[in-house]
Amino acid sequence: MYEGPIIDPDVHHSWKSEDWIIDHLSPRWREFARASGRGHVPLAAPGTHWPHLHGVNKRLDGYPADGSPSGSDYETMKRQLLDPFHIERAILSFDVGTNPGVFNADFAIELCRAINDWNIEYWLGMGDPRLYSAILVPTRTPEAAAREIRRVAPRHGHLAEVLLVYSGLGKPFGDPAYDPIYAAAAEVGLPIALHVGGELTCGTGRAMAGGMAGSRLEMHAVASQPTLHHLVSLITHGTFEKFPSLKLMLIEVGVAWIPWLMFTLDAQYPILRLESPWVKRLPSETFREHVRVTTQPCEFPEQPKRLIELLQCFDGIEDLLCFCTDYAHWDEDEPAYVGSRFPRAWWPKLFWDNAAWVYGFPRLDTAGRAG
Amino acid sequence: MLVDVGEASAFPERGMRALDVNGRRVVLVRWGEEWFGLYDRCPHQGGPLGQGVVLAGPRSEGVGRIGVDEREPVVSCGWHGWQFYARTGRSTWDEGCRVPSYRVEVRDGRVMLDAPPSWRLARQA
Repeated sequence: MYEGPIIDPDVHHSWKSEDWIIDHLSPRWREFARASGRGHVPLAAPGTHWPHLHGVNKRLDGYPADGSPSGSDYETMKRQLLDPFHIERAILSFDVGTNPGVFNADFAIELCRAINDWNIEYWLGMGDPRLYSAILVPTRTPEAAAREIRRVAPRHGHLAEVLLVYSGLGKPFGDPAYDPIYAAAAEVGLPIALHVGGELTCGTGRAMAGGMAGSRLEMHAVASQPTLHHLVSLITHGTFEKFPSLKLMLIEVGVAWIPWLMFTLDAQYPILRLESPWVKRLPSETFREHVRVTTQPCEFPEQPKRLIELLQCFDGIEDLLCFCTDYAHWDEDEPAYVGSRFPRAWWPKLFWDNAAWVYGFPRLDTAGRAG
Repeated sequence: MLVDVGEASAFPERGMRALDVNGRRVVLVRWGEEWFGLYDRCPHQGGPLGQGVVLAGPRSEGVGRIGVDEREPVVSCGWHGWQFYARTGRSTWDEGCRVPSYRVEVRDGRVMLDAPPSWRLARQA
C-alpha cells in the first residue's frame, strides 16, 4: 500500500449556510438575494438532476453531526480525508462550482466575488497548510472572469487553480471568446482545472450529445462527453499555442478514454488541420505537454491489468495521471484501492509528482517525502 | 458464542445500527421480526456499511419492470451504494462478492449475536 504523501486535486467543500455567502455580497446584491423575504434566490444554476441511489450525491457518512451540508465542516473533512489518507495538499473545489450558472450574468459576477472572498476568509483562513483552493469565475462574462482572477489571485498564496465547470457562453472552452480567462490565468501563473458537471447540472440542454439520459447509470457512463469536447476544443483552437505556459487539469472524467481520443485526434490531424493551421504539433504532443488527468471515477475492469494494458498503449501515460478522491461525493475513490489497481512504480507520480507539476509544488524528494 | 448486544425494543423496526462486538465492527439489521448481522466494512473500498441504508431488495420482473422483495432486505453502503443481502451478506449482483454475516437471535427481549470465538481471542491478544 502506498504510504507516502498525497495531493488530492478534487476535494469538494462548501458553506454551512448560504447566508454566509449572501453576507459577503455587496449591499445591492444582498438586497436582491433576499428580495423575496422568504428564503433567497438560488446561489447555483437551476439543476438537471438524475436520482441518486441514496437521494444525494454524497457519501452518507460525509454529513457533519450538526446537520450542515457535506463538505462544509473542516473537522469532518480532517477526520475522514486529510488525516487518514495522508493528504498533504487538498485542492478545495466547491460543490462543484456551478454557481456561475445562475441566470443573471451580473449576479454571477458578484456571486463569484463573494464566494472567493468567503473562501479565502473561512477555509484558507483556518491556517491548515494542507488546504489549497480553486478560484471560481463567471464564465459567461470572460472579461469579468479575467478581472476576478487578477483581483483575487494575489490575495492568498494557497489559491491553486482557476476552476471552470459551467461553459457560460454555450461554446466549448477552446472558443476564442474565453481567451481573456486563459490570458489572466497565465499572467498570474495558475493552471486551469476543468471539472465535469457544468453541462450536466446547469440545465444547459447540452448535457449529452444523444439526448437526455433516462437513468443515472446511463448518464454517469457518458458524463465525460462535454469535458472531452472541451479538451478537443482547447487543443484544436490553439489555446496552448496562444498561452504556452498554460497548464490544464481535467477532473472527474476517468482515464480510459485517453488512448482512444488521442489516437483519433492524431490520425485526423494531418488531414483536417487545414482549419487549425496554428496548431503546430500533433494533438497528443500538446496534450502531453500541457494536460494532466485525475483518475476518479476510475474505470475498474474485472481484471485490473486490462486497464493498465489499455493505458500503456499511450506512451508516457504514467506521467499524466493524478490520483484524486472526489471527497465527499458518493463515488469517491479511496487511495489504497486505487493504488492497488496501478503499478507500484507509478505511485510516486500518481499520488504526488504529476499533480505537483500542475500546481507548482516541489516534487517528492528521494526519500518519498513532500518537499 | 452468543453476545448480548442490547434490548430488542431499542432497535428500529426497519433499520440497522453499527456496533462494536468484542472489538469487531458489526452492523445489526432489524427487518420486522427478523434480525441479521454483517461485518461493518464494504468489500468494495472499505466503506462503513452501517452508515448506509437498509431497504427491501430489488427484484427484476422483466425488462422495464422493477419490483421489490420485502422478504429480502438489502444493506446499501453509504459510500458507493454497493448492496448486500442482509440475510447472507451476498452481493445483490455478484455471487462471488460477500460480506461476512453473523446469526442473530432474540432471547427474552435481548438481541444476541453469534460472534466467532476468534474475536474474543483477538481482543485479548
